[in-house]
Amino acid sequence: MAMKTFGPQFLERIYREKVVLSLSSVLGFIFCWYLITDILGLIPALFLPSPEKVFFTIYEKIYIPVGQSTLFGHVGVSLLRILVGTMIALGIAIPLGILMGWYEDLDSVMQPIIEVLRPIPPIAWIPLAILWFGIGLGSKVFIIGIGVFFPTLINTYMGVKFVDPILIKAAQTLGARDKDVLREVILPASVPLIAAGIRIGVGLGMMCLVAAELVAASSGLGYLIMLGGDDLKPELSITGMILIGIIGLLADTLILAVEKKVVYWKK
Amino acid sequence: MAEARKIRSRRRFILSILSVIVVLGGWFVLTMVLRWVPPAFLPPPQNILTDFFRLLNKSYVGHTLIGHTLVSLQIVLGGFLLAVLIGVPMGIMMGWFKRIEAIVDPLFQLLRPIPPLAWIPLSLLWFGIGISSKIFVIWLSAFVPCVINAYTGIRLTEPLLVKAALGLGVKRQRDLLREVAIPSALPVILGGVRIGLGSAWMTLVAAELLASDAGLGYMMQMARRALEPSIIILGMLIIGILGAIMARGLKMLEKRICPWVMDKER
Repeated sequence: MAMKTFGPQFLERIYREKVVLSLSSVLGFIFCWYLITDILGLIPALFLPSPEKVFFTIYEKIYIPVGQSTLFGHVGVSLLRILVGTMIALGIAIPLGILMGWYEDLDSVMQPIIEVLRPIPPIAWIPLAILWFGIGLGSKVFIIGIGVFFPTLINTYMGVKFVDPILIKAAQTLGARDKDVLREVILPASVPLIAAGIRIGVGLGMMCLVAAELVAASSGLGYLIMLGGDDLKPELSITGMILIGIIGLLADTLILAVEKKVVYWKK
Repeated sequence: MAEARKIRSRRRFILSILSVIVVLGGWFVLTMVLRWVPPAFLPPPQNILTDFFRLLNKSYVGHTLIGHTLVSLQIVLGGFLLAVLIGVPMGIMMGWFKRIEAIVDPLFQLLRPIPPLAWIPLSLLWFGIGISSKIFVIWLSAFVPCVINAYTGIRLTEPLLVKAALGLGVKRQRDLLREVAIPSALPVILGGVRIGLGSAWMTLVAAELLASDAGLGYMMQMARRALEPSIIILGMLIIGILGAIMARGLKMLEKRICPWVMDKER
């Protein structure tokens, strides 16, 4: 925190030290993992497989199927579920949020229902979803959809509600009709909040995906993670966890990139 | 103006009440009068109420409703408190000491994208089906937001405040941290604690759905197998209400601990 000099050499030294420390930390972590599993054999492979074994499991499962499909198949199934669930949720949440922010009567009607449903964690819907839609695509899409729906709805609503009234009045003075105000003023002004809502929602949706696939599924990455635990093959679980992490990271990066493109006026 | 506002808020109130009545009424008509929806699919609303009173003193899959609730609360609070006690100091250290940040942060970034829920099967393998596996996963889920927010909060300390303190003769790092950085980071830290609690509550439900022998999630899972949706919905409502109460409680605590933040909001 407290620095004495700010010369470029000093900064470069700090930066280099940071890179070295960070790299050695990651390498040290993997080495320790390797040490306690393979080299010293302190922890049996049934408990924690070595990093080497995890690596080869990922490699092997690309062409050897687990359950019904190979690794690509499971990744594809999970991606499909999250995509369909997200699209449906966004398709309902964004228009509804805009309308609720715009028409006060609709807001009054929807608010009590939403306030009752919102505090229920999306994961708590899983048993009911299975009862209603079975263990196929339907129940997963439903649960992921609920996960994505509420953060997006709330943020869209807030985005519309908190648009600077002066902007709206200015547009109206200049002769804009309701439709124009909505399209030219409200929407652009609320896009940053909507995008933030989508980002939170998709993060939550990923968690819902994993939970739904853990509880009841016969394919997908969550199924892989569960199977690893059930069959005492933790390397399979870790494979699924790594892939889920990568997908989550990619999804987040993608949303951020799109947001930057759409909201070009905001730095 | 005042008159117009009064009329508006009354209109709002009436519409809200009407909406609740229509939803409950529609639900009742669909299930009880028209009987379009079989009760194994969606029970009539009053069944949830009767189940609530029935399970208050009669045990269902091992415990009464209160018993299941207490089991769940105990686990979630245990894991959550552990996460706060370890996560917040760790985040503060990461934010304050560059070296600790350089060592811990990359590991953290490596593990962070994995949803805590995905650890459940491994945790079951490591700790068994009992309480410790659930505490571990819940700890993990609340730990991450606690660390991130504490870290961010410290990093966002206004440099001017630090300089002012230095100028006023604060010599030791420890005093700077305790008197300047931590108080200024407190709102962000508490925000992380609140996110952590929500996350912990959600993870608990997932863990109980998957492998448990008591708790609200377990009760719902058993009710699903027995095709008793009214008990599932009862469980969902209790989970929702408890989650909302806990969030509200933390918010009040936040107001107590740092009252100056609330003045800024709104």
